[in-house]
Amino acid sequence: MKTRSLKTRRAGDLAVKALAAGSALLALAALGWILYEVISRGVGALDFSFFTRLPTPPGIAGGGLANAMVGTILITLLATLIGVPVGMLAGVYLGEFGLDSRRAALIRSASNLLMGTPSIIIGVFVYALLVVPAGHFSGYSGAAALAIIMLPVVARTTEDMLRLVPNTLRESALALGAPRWKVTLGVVFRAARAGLITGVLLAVARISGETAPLLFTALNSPYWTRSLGEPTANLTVTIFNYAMSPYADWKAKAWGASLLITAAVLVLAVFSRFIFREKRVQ
Amino acid sequence: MERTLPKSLERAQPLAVKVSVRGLNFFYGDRQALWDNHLEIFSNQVTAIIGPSGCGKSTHIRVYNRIYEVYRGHRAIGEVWLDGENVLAPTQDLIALRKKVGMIFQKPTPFPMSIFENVAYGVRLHYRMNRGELAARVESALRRAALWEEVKDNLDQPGLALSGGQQQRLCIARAVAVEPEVILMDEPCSALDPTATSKIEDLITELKKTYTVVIVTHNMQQAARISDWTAFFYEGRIIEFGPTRKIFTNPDQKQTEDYITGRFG
Repeated sequence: MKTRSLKTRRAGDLAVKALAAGSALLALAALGWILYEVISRGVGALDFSFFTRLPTPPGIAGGGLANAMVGTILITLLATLIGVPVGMLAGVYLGEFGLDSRRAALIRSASNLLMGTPSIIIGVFVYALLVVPAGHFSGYSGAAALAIIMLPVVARTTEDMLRLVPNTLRESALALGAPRWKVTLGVVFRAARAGLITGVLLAVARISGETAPLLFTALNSPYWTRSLGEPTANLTVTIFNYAMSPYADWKAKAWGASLLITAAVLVLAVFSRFIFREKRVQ
Repeated sequence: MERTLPKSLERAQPLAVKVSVRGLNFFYGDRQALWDNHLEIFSNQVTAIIGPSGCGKSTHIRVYNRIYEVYRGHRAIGEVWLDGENVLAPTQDLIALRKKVGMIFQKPTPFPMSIFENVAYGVRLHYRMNRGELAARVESALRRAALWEEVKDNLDQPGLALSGGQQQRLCIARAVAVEPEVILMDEPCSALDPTATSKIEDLITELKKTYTVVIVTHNMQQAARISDWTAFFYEGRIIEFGPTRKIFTNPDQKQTEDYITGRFG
């Protein structure tokens, strides 16, 4: 038996440390670079009319993307209204009732599969399901596509958060003579509140950058949204269209819209962290 | 169910039997945890259940309110009679049962809401009452749990902001507020410091005037201090049951004596 050399062990330790730190740095550097580019190129486009005016035809300077902002907010809101309750109830089933049953396991893997499905496929699916029968693109179908994307995300976080709630809390509510549904809604949900809100915010952040599903559903529009029953202006498809265009003014606006979405997602993420931390302290 | 005790138990006055356990067996899936338990719990008495870890003490009392049913594969076979009704009968209404049989757990479990709402929670489940009646009910429950003086100015504070001992008394107030008849306590002091423990013990002695108390405890001094009756469990079987003084001074069974004197467990 020989003692291992201290030197090689130290070297090995150093190598792993350096590799790990290097990888972390690389990821951060990519993020930093993206942020730098988006901010430096986008900030110039953010003037007053950007937030208040309709887009102008190519070649005519000025105008803004107010209609796309309104459209994105409307579509995201509607998607949240559909996706969150359904996803949460699915999560409640998995975390409170189904647990380790075979049916729950099946639903869980189906949900994971849905989470891994490329969003463009969900876009095409909704296109075939809603857009083709209706004969035209619509904001409603866009919201439906985004809701489907949210569903597994919300279901997963809801289940995870409910499972963090200790069983003794459920037992003590049941022991008082509370029916199961009241225990879930009145006690368990309250205990998991911060986590549930965080999950919803992250799901909203997740869909607010989606483009592919909207290309097939909401499409885009240069006008104000009069009804979600028609093609609806939105930021992500606008970015796609403008970035591909040959016009300098449109490209600048695409950068501005990118900055806006990035900032919104960042705010959501930071806000959700803040809520989660706040509750933990209590 | 009035019942006179056998002479051997040497008690003069007749005691009413509140809970009567007959041939109770319990299974965690395929593993049997309780074997043919027979036990009488008397009204307005404190019955202590003692025994080494894993001997089935908690499992036993968790049958009384059927809380074990939350978990898949947990099964109880046998009879548990409460006021002449078999708790284990399939027709037994769980909500009515749990209103009658309250439970306190090892770790204090305040709900994530205010002190007032914690106590009001159970009341609202079973009674319809106006704001004033509810407030009176909450106050009386907190008084009975010897917590009122400490929290009366902070009823809007979250229950989780209280100390461990106060949280446990809050849980007792919450259980008492629905006016149960039997209170099950599953090692209620094992997470508390000695001062808080002694407060809970005083409280238990006070509670037995109104309720029937069954307490599972690891702490033999505690059983000796507060209980009138003691059941000694070992490996899922009830080895001996009798008046606490007798169990602790002159047990019939060798195993009981060995446990009491600290030779095992």
